[in-house]
Amino acid sequence: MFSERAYHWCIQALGWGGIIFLVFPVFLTALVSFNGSFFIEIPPSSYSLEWYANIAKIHKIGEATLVSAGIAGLAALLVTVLATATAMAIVRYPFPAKAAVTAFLLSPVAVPIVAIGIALVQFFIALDIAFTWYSLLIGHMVLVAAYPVRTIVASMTLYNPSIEEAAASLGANRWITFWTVTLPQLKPGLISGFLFAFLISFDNYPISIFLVRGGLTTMPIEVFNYISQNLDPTPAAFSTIYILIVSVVIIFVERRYKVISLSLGR
Amino acid sequence: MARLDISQLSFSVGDTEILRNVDLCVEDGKCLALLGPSGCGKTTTLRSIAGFLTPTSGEISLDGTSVLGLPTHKRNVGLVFQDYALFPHMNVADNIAYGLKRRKVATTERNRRTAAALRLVQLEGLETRTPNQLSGGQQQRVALARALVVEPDVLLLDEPLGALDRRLRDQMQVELKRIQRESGITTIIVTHDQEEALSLSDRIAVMLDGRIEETGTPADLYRRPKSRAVMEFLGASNILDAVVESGDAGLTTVRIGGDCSLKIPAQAASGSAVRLGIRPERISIDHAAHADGDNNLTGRVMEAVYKGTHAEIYVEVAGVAPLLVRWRDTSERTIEDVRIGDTVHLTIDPDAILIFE
Repeated sequence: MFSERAYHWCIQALGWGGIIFLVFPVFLTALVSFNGSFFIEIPPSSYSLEWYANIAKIHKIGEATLVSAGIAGLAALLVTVLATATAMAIVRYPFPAKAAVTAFLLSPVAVPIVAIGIALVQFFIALDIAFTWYSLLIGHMVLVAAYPVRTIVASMTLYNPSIEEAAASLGANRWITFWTVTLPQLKPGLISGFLFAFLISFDNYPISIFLVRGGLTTMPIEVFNYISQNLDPTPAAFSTIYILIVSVVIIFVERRYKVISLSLGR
Repeated sequence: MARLDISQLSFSVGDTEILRNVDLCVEDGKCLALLGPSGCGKTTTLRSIAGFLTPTSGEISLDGTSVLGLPTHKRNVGLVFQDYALFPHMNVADNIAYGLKRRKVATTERNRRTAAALRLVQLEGLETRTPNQLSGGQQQRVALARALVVEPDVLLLDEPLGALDRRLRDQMQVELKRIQRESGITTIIVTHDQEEALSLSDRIAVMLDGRIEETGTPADLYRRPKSRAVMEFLGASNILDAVVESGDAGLTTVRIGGDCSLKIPAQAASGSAVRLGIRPERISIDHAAHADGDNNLTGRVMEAVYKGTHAEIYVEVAGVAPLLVRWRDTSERTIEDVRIGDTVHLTIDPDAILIFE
């Protein structure tokens, strides 16, 4: 069976090629972060943890990371709640122009982020709330809304709606049915939707750069500013920690909640 | 436990009438099968009783009290869904206890009743399994226990055995009958499977095209259906067109085509057209010619289908539609003796012939 073997070999080669292509930059970032010299060299001629200690020297990095985490957490939470209601409407109920509304809700994935950023700035200026923490929050919600809508719609179409009727026949009203039956069934969609939203908001640069002025700043903006003014591997050290934390969270969530498609998409 | 009455129930979507003046009544503790082909409105009737649908008009009452104004969760009906609809994120015990929790039954009492329900459906020891770790038959039992444990006024079963394979279905039929009898709960079984209806219920209501065609005990409906449609739906049957030739002394002679005529125990005007219904097992078949007598026909074997307990033989009688005859092996004769093309002699007991207009 030569052709059979050639086919398997081909698939394997492509698979490994893909993995290497995706992992190589991450590996390189980690390698560079342990570089002993000021200049980025590959392979490093010596190793040190100096750049990890240097992370604190990135301008306002602590404060900016907290702002980013706060914005990302709250935006993801609010958007997940909104997305649950939206997904229910899309999957369960007929309403006028459903296809158009659905496409519109998913549009932030398709529209260039820079265009969204410009639109948001003009909108916030018109409302006279531009460059505030609230406008940054709302901007990030617009940015990430599509992701939980998608994941929750997906888990909603996967489950058997007759279990809600079963709950009703056993004496549960609409609210109790929602809490005890619907919500637990949507858990994978809710969790992966929340995480998608959180991660995309947390490291977003192009939207934030439009919405941030003065004292307000976010983690990606500060890291980018540092990179544009310095050539040393400090951002690589920061990124390595960031990648490590995100990987651990994703692995934990996938194991704990059996969420499968979290690492796909985007 | 309660008596269920449905009167003049109608349900329409736009111009489409799905239910047309359905009248049904189930006595306290009895089991009624709602039998009909798919699309006849039986599931709509069930969903109206459960409260998932609001009928266009008509009345549904339990023990004389209307339930139409009540939402599902206040109706106290137990439901077993065709696909069981178990809660996938709860184990067996939590699935069964769900209705008790909604009724705020105290923990000790709840545990006692859950255990009793598990015993009733013979699933002790599987409390901590989740639904996806159970076989189809076990899921069916959990669904049944979950519906029964809250002691509903009415138990509604939607195609309860439809998703099970043959062996399991036969086994669950016996189980279901025992459980229904032991629990004494008024039950409605919705099914398109006539065997399920005949074997499980005290009464059958045959539903066709949105209305109740006929109601009766399984034996009555099988032996003496009042309409051709019920006869055809319930078991195998021969339906023959016939013209009344003459009537005398309680026996009427009808011509069924060619030069074949039958004597039937009914009065009808000479020259009128009637339809005859004959169950295949009420036609006797033999290779040897019969002595002279009434209702003898001669034909040729077209096809023989072996079914295990019996065989079905299609016999062509000149001028008459092919007749379906049931053959049973005896010590003297077996199905191997019957060959396609054989000439056979049929005799039909006049009492076995039903007349429809």
